[in-house]
Amino acid sequence: MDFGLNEEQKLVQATVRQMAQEQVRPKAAATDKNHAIPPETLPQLAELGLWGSYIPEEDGGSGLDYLSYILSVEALSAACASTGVLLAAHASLGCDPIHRSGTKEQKAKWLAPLCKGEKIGCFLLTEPGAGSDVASLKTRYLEQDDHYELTGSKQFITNGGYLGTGVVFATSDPSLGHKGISAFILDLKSPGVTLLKNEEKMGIRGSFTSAFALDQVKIPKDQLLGAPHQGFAIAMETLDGGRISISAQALGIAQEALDLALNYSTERQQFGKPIGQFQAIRFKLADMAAALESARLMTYKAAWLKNQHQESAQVSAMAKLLASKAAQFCTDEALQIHGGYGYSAEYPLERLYRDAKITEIYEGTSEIQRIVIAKGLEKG
Amino acid sequence: MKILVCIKQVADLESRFQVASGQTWFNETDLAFRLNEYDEFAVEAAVQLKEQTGGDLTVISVGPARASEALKKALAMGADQAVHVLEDQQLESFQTAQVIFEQIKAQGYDLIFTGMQSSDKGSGQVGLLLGEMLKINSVSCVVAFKYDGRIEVERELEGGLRAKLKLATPALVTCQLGLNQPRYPTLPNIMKAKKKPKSEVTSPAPASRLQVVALGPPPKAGAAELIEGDLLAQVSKVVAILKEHKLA
Amino acid sequence: MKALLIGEVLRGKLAPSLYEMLGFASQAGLESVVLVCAPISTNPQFTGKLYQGDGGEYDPLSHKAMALEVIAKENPDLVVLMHSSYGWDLAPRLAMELGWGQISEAIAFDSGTFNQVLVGGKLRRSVKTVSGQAVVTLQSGAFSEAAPAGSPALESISALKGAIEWLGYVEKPAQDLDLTKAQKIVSAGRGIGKADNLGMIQELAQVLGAELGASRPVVDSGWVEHSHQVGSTGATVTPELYMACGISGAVQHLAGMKKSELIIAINKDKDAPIGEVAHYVVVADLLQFVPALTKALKA
Repeated sequence: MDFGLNEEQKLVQATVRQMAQEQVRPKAAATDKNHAIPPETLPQLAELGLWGSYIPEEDGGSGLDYLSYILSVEALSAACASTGVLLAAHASLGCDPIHRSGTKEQKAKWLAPLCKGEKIGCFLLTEPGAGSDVASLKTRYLEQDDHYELTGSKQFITNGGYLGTGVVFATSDPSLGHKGISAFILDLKSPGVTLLKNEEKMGIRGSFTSAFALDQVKIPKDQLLGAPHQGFAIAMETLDGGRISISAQALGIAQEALDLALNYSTERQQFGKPIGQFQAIRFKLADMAAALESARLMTYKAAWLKNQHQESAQVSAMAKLLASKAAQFCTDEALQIHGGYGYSAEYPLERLYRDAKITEIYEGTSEIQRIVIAKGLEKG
Repeated sequence: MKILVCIKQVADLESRFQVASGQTWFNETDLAFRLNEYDEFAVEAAVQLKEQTGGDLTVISVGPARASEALKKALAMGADQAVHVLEDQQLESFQTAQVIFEQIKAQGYDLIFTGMQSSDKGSGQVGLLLGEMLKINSVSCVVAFKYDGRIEVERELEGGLRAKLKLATPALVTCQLGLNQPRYPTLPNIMKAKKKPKSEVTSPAPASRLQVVALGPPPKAGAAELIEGDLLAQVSKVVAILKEHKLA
Repeated sequence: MKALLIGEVLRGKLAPSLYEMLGFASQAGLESVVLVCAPISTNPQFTGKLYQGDGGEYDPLSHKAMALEVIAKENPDLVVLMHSSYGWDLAPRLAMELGWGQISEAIAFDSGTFNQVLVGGKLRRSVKTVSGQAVVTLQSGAFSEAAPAGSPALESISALKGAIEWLGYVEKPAQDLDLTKAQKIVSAGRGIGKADNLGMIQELAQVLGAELGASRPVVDSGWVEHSHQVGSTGATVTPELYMACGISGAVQHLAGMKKSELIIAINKDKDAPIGEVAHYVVVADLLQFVPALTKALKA
């Protein structure tokens, strides 16, 4: 066993950390307040090659190993959780299915621009009536001579508002359940695609969470991803990876909360000494550090498995369950340590607290993660 | 054009330092290490020159195994190959310069860049010593650099003043902070750096010309009076001090 | 024991730091010989020998040659320069030629050993050269100046020009601000975190009728103009009040402000090196303390 990062991983981590601290973190509060990631952030991520993440160089990507990608999401999320999920959703949900299931031509046409950040990726699965229960989705597609025609609606689409490139899921026949679902590559600027709204949210406010209406959207035949009716498998595999990236986002948020709490507890004086010298505070800090470290080990293991192309669904689910819980726990405790200042919008804690909550919800709620974990136990 | 950049990996200055058992250096366990900040400017200057003139850029470092990370960063920033002189001892400037000299004296570099000093020791000697050993022009503390067959530099002097100089190659310049904007290594370049040639060599260091007599934390002599406690009490104390000195 | 002190010349004037070197030599009980490599308008006042060179103000090769000639004549045990842009450039060249050890930026001298700071002031070491002969550069402000007195015996010295072409000084842009004349300075350091927080430092400066100073990282980040920089590559200041906000106290910064009459530092780390020169360290988060102080001073 080797728990150490290799040289490349350390360098990726240090580089993304430096960039995130210098260029992203100072804008995190404004990103939350303005409900928008500043436009200049996108080319900054491009310059570093972040958009291409773990996609191989021959497909136009940056050729990182999967753990390096996860370290990038973590570092970025520590600086700004909205910017962290921008990358996580783009890479794990937008690029990943095309990378895994796309043809050579599809990769050249769609994946390469995604890797340069010319288009932002997203994943159009969730619908108003189909969240965790994917098989019940209602968006229909009809096969015509030279194209498919999609009609329906999609909701809670992370990065949707950028109107870039998405992977969209639809069924040829709802009565077939998950066996009727196919996946398509969709240019979100196609006629018939209407951006209905970007949600007002509790946290990760800089991130677009969009709702779309699809009205007889024509998709050329060469944009079918994988085989017909392979959509469910593509979606599930994608979500396994997506979970690891959300675990990484959660780790970033939790680490930032712990760092702020540590810092504050040495500065803040009450009853004649820094509050960090009181056992009540020290125990909180210890619990936070322990929760964070165990979630980190689990997340890195899931990334390692994925990098080895080994079965990672169950470990990914465990990682996401633990990491999102750690994020929620650490932000809560850090806010408590900050007392009244933690509750004040002048300090970043209330933002981190709001940002953390989503990690227990998207890409499978904690309840869904438990279902996945339990299912894995049965197999054994 | 053959370009060389000399770098050092140093402990992050944010760390807490404890004197190691030999009483001549600090304990390196658990410390974070990074590429010396001044050297980042040197690497950037070297990479920019290579981009301008073409040619070949080598990066060299003298240090223990961990220094390989700093070399990797320089490779990812744009150096073509790296030479790692493995050295576990903490060398003094003269020794380091001599070790580098032995490695490169036959290479005929046109331009050599170093940081103006290391942030751990701040001696500012290695670059200039190396220039003297090679018997080439050298100039320190450069804050502006141009190449057009010869090199034109500005040296930073005190009080915001600069001296403008022109010199022929081969030459060595030591780089001050602010010379340029060191790039972030891009992620694809980090991965590509893995495939760039990196040689590890050993080279006996000459005897040190310095003897460290003692090492320790700075004395608390004349230590400041600490004003701690509640914010408002701190404020009134400071206001009182200012009034006492007739400054407010 | 004898020391060769090498003075520096900027725009035809001898730098007053020569008196710090003379002060060091007298503290160490050394006989002093002085070399000045370029013409100067007014001779320094000390008792001893002054070698006056006819070189340019920056010409390492000719300065090295002059120094070696004087060293051959005088046989000093120490060659002393300031740890300034001039001194740190010339010192290693001499050390190399002489085969001596060099001790950079000495802050103190005690029974044959020199003290130096390491890792940004967090550690300190005492060193000596193995041979006993040394080239030493002194930290600016570390040694008390000798009082100007006496008149030296002059001897001229000459050397060939070196290969580095001198194109002249580059003027800093004309600025109204002259920190060296300020009575009060409120300075911002890296600890302010971001440019937006500069406003509260400026406001405090305004309330106190002080000028705004800054440490090097703040200037390098482009948050304020270079004219505000305090330290060895900025202004050396001696105001009645110096308030250091979020400045940990790198040696280069301390060199530029430690002679201020009253130094109050605001820092969350009570062990920050600024405490070595400060009279008071307010252990606080400056983002809270500075606005609170401004408010109290306004009241």
